[in-house]
Amino acid sequence: MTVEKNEIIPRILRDINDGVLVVGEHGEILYLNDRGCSMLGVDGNVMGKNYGRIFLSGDTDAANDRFHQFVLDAIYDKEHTHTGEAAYRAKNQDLKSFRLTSSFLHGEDGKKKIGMVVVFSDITEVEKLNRQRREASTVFSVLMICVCVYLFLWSLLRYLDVEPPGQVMNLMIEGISVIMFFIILKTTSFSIRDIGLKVTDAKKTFIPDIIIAVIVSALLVVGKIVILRVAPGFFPKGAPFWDWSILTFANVIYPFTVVLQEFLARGVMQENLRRIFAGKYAGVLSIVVSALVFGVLHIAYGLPFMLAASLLLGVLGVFYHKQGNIWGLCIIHYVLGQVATFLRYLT
Amino acid sequence: MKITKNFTDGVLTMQIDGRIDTMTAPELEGELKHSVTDDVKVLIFDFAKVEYLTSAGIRVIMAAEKVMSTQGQMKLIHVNDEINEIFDMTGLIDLLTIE
Repeated sequence: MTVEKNEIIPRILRDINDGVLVVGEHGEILYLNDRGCSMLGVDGNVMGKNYGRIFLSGDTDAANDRFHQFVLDAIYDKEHTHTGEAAYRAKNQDLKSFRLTSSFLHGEDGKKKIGMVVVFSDITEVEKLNRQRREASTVFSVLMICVCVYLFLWSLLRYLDVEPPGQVMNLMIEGISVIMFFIILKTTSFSIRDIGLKVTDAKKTFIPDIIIAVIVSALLVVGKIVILRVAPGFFPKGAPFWDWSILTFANVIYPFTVVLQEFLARGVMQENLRRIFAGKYAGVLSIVVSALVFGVLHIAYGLPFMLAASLLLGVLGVFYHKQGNIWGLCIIHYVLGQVATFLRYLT
Repeated sequence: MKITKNFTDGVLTMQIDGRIDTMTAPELEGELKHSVTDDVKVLIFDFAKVEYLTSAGIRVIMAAEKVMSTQGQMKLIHVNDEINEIFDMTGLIDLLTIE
């Protein structure tokens, strides 16, 4: 039994996912498991060496002060266990966040000094997720303020009997996108990838989206042929099948409109809602809520358009969930928007 | 923290009064950068009035030791028992000259 015990404890210490550092009463490193070596950026043969020489003597990085302080705290206050978080930057590695517990080791008699033990775990990813969730909540709150201002303004204009052109309301939505872009850029730690602007796999992004854009465009053409036979009054009387005459400045700047709207719907709404919700249904909830909010933003165009915008956004949201960037969706959005316009579905 | 300096015949003595912690260590670091010129052959830290030393203070002390090892020597004097135990249990006692 004792033999098993002697084998089990070192094995647990070796395989544990936390770093375990034991320093003797005169600074000799009694034990540092493999995980600890990797986290502190040292090789495995530090055992028996001087802790001060290995970790304090050449460490000029002030970021590591708090980690070392936990070792000192165990010496200053031998009666208590010290728990907290500290940053640590091993040589040639990125800054990490550790959760640590340090305590002084007494002998069996409670008087003899053995040394101190520090157990530390890497919480860098957890920290990052928590920070991103906090930032995502702030971003979404700001967006909700913008949406509310938009709705109040729209209500005010209606109260004053002013009917602003649809393009003005569109510009407001794009203005919200630009505001949100700068807020995210200036106040959060999100990278371009975190807000859906970076393509990681061009093939997986563009090929399916181009195929979808072509198929749906073909369906719109077929649909028009069928509708012209079944219900010819659906389209404006006398308009050509493909009507170039309705080309306006809005069509010219449409690519920018598409990018800004997709960024607002995906990078700002869907991406941040996914971080806020977390859990099993985070993906579905983020798609549904962002689609609904985006639908509400189209209130100026009436209920059918709101429903259509929500539905389209919901479908495209599924693609975004799989692809992680807006660029493929921009192609679908742009092509379908233009095809529907020139086939006169939208006017 | 209060630092009193005395420079005589290549010997710079720095008497530190108070805590050397995260807040005060940068002040000590700045003082060392300013005072430890090539003329300094011996650097003495008088720790008689140092109440508490944190890892930030140790980092500054070890940086000074690194500089002095190339141009002379550095020693710590009048170190109290508590801080001496810190140097002992971290192994720094083997790397520093403590009298």
